[in-house]
Amino acid sequence: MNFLNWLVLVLGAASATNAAGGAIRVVEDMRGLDRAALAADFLSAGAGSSGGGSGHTNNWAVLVCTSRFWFNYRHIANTLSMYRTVKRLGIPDSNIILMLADDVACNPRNHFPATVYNNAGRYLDLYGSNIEVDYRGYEVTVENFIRVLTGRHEEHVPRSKRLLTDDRSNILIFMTGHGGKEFLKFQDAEEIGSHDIADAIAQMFEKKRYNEIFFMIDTCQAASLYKQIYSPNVLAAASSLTGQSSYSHHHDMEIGTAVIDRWTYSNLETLEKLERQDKNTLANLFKTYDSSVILSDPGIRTDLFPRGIENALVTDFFGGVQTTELTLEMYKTSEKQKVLPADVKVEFDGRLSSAQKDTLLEKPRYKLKVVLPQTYLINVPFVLCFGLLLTGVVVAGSV
Amino acid sequence: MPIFSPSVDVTQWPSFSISHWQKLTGVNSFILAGVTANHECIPSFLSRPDRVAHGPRTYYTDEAIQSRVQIGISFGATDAHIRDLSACNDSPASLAASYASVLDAFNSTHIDVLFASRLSVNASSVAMRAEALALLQTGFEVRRSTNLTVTLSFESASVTDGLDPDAIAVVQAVHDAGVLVHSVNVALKEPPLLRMGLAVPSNEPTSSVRDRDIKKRGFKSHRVHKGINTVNGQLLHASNQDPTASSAGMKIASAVKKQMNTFSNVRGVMLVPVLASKGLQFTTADAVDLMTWAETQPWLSFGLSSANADAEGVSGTRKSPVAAISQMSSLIRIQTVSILLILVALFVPVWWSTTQVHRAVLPTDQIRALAAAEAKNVFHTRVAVRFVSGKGQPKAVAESLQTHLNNLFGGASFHFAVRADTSTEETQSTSGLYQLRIDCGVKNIQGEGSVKLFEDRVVSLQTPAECADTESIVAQAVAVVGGLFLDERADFARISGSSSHNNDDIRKVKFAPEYQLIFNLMNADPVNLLVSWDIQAAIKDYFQNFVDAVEKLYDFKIKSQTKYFTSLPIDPEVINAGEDGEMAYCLRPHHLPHFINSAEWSFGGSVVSTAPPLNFVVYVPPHAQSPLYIMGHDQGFLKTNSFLIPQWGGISIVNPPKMAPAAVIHENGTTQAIRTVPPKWTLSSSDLSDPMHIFIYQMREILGVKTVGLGSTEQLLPGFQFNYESSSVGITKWELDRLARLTTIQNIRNAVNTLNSLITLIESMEDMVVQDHIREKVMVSLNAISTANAILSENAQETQSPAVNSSHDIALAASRAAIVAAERAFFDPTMVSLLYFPNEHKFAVYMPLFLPVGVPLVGTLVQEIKKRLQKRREGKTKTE
Repeated sequence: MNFLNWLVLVLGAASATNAAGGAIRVVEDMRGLDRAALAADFLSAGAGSSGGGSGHTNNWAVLVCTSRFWFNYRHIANTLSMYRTVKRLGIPDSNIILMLADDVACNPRNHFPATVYNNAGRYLDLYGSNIEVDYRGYEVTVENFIRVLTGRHEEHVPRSKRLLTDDRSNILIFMTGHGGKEFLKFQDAEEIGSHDIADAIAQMFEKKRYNEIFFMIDTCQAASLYKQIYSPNVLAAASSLTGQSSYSHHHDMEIGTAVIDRWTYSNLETLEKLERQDKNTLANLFKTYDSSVILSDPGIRTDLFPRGIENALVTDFFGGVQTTELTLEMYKTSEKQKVLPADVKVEFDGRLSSAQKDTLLEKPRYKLKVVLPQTYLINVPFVLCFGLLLTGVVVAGSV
Repeated sequence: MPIFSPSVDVTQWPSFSISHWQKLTGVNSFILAGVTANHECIPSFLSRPDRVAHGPRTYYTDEAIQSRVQIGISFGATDAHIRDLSACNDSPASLAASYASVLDAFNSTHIDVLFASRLSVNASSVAMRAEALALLQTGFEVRRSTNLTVTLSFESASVTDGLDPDAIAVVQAVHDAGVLVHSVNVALKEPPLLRMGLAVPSNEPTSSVRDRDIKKRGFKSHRVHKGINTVNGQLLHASNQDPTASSAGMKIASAVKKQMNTFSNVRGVMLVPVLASKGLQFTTADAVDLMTWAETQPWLSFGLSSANADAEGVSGTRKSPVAAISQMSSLIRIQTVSILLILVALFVPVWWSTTQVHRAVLPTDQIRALAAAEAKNVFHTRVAVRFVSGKGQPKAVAESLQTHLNNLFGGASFHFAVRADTSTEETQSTSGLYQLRIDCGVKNIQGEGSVKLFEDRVVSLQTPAECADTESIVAQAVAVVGGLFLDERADFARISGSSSHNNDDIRKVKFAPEYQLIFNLMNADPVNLLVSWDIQAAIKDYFQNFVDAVEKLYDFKIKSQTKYFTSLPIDPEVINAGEDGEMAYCLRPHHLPHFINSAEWSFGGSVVSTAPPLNFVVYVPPHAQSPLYIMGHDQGFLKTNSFLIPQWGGISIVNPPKMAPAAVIHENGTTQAIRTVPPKWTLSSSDLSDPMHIFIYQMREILGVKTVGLGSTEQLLPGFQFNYESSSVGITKWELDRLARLTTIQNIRNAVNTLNSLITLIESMEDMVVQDHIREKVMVSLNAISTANAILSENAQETQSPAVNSSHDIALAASRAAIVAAERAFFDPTMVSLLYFPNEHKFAVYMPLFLPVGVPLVGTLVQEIKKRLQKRREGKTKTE
């Protein structure tokens, strides 16, 4: 900065002596100032980017439980535990997309109605306090999950159900449910593949919808699900490696099912001890994983995360960052009585003229029917029946 | 007897149905094999009780009669524990009676006696059976006045060099008994799978197909075509082309024929090659070879003169089997080819078109070119120079000023058109048109000039220079006008660099055409104080003008709400405020990030609108925590008592007036009311003046309004006085224009980037559906971008008429339309490439269709090609 000050001073001094020395001189001086300003800008930008921080200004969480039915109680408990944790560490509800495929709290088999516990000791009712489920029951679908990530919603979807992130957002994605090699079941009805997840994240990256993502998944063969991700600045952690099962932690004999999964439990043991300003890194969190307790080997993928887990704080993802600025002054409006009229608002007619339509919207040569990908599967029986029918006709005719 | 009669061992195949078989194959004669004696010594198919569940005898009898087929009966035994009928009968007569009872039951005129094992060639039993056959044959002529066709079958005999001595002995015995034997059947290999009989010419030409062990192999794949058994499943694919098989067959046939020459009663030899069994492999081709050969042998040919007019329509149409078989194979070829053709010609297009994902063609090249090109947008800015007093030379100044300004900017970002304004009328203020008022020959107290920046696109320069001193005036004018626009260049450079974030960007909310503006009154302690506010009047008095002023950039939907019991999630520090030793509560900067109790205060904004909300909060602290102050970094209380949350909004703490609490909460938790009704406190519009002006300040920060100053001019014109007129609405026209220009450039850049990302995505994801309306949105966005770019291009034509909208405004409107359309296209709900559908999944889905249809087709095709090749090779060898 000394150099810059010096530069400005020299230029200033130079200009002072030449104040009346012709317009050309002024132009030269102003160019010098302009260059100095640009240089300062460049240097400060460089200084800013070399700092080690995450560079995010807001935190978001997408917490997904994909399992339905009572015996999957533990998956709901997993998700609600994470929900409680991120909320406690400061991510506001408006920045949490919570997807729960079932409502075990209101299940008639729940011996403790309107509660969800993640421990047989039933110390903490995860459901009792203020929870805001954004997608519940049958709304938890692969389609909706991908819509949340990519931001492609129907127009009527409220803001609270949208992931309104930008290029300064750190996103925690936590998924739990029943899965297998490169897939995770949604509601026993459909499944999401590792490629789907990877593609959705790629789309987010393409639209600069995140700064960093921490993708956590607790399911069998969980590591296979982050395998296909290829977008930068994504850190992934999974409960088990490909080929391994993930296990539940313990049963509650009165509730009658397992109440939490081992890996989530292991995470929570660390996360519960953290405070908002905690400086523990993700490397510290990963060190607490003990395969002999979890009964599977947790997978961690760091190759897309150049910042390094030693530099990433747990609160970069689990906590909510909130920068605030003191307002030192107020805007003093002038006391004039006469208020200037506002500028005329120009409306731009974005519609294409018919001539433009003809030239620009050149019709494709073949008019194809619009087929959504789901209808793939409808075609199969159709083609099958059609084929068998025709073969039958041919055979019957020839005999 | 017809050519081929399936010989069916019902002991092996209990569920055999004559009528079904007949329907399936069109064959009208069968040989039911395996009649033996059961434990009560009654002739029966039920040689093994476990094999046949229902009474087979009556069942087959009824069925045979109902389906009106000819039935031959094969008697015999194949191993030791199955009893031969001869073992149950003590005399030839009783054995003959046993035979006759079965034959009569089926109305059969054909008897086949099987000699399959040591047991069945036991000398006494052979003699008895020979006698019985003789009796039967004679009796038949007498009793039923038809001939009984007798055949003898040898299965176990070693047949490589003709029949073995045991078999010869049997034939001898039969000969001695005087039985006329229709043919001696010789199986070529054990176990017989399928036997094709060849018969010597006789009055009753016979050949048969035997099918044993047929259950295991699966009968359904066998198909009989026009009376000729073309065994489809196994035999067509039998690939073994053992050339010795047919020659061995010929050799054996010749040998047996030679042996049989000594027996005058034997009319012929039936060679029963076993097809596709282990060992001597017989294929259809071998069979055909044998048949062809048999036709050339006078004693081994297919007598097909339908002397035995069993013509149930089938035999009448028969031709030579060789011709039939070759005709059949050409039919197969036609079938194969036609099905393949149908598959290719019909299914492939149907499948392709029904699974086709619609992808509208997007102007990829155009977008890529836009993204790759460096943004060279130039704002055409007009400056009117007016001399307020004195007789300057406005034209000369204007010309010179224009040259120098354009020289300064060098064609980047701004292009100036300066003209002299000699009229005295006020011109209408539009963006892109600025007025420079020059007052020459005026000095201030320090003997220097002054510069004043008016709110309304007017800058005035009071210069000590003489009016005639054009050069000095121009130099100062360049410094003034240039200084006004120089800072913006850095802004533009930052956008095109697009890498670095600076603090402005953090504060600034992302551009949206519409925002929700929500004013919140947070009353933490309504028990002690009921706070209300006259927010409508306050907005009208202080905020509405600002909103109107930026209307060309953004639309605002203004809402307000009051929230109660909004306790803080943090405990403020208690300090002594100093003055009169009073207690005060204070929040330090590190507290502020946790000020918002996000869990309990719901801001949310409208559920209906998807416009991003900007929140402004007036926080009234509870009685127990007031007065509440924010402490700055310098340990002093902030005068504004407010802070800003970037991109979110602003918070201003308004302390309530000192009042006695309405209720006291005792330590034991009980509440003692002092007053029943809490006092009311209404914040009038003038009370809200301070918070509102703070909010305007914060709003400017959040929208990214940048102050237009003359920073560089101040350095260049030392001694000059600089005055800035602040706005009456919260934003000067200079600032508004600067914001509009920045927004224009940003929007164009963002729209191009969004479209570019869209293209990249669509190209990388092949299953993504791209509908026509996406294309239209992309085109609309592109159209708007090119409109804006055209206006902001270097050689755009100036619109000189002030009545026409300013080009800057049109560019802004176009850029707005561009970003809106581009975002809509990108975030279109139909753009969800739902599922990754890899090729292996597709293959798995179509497998159930392709496999059953494909395998026989491909098999046949391969066979045909092989035949073709072989023929060609043969043809070649022949020609050689």
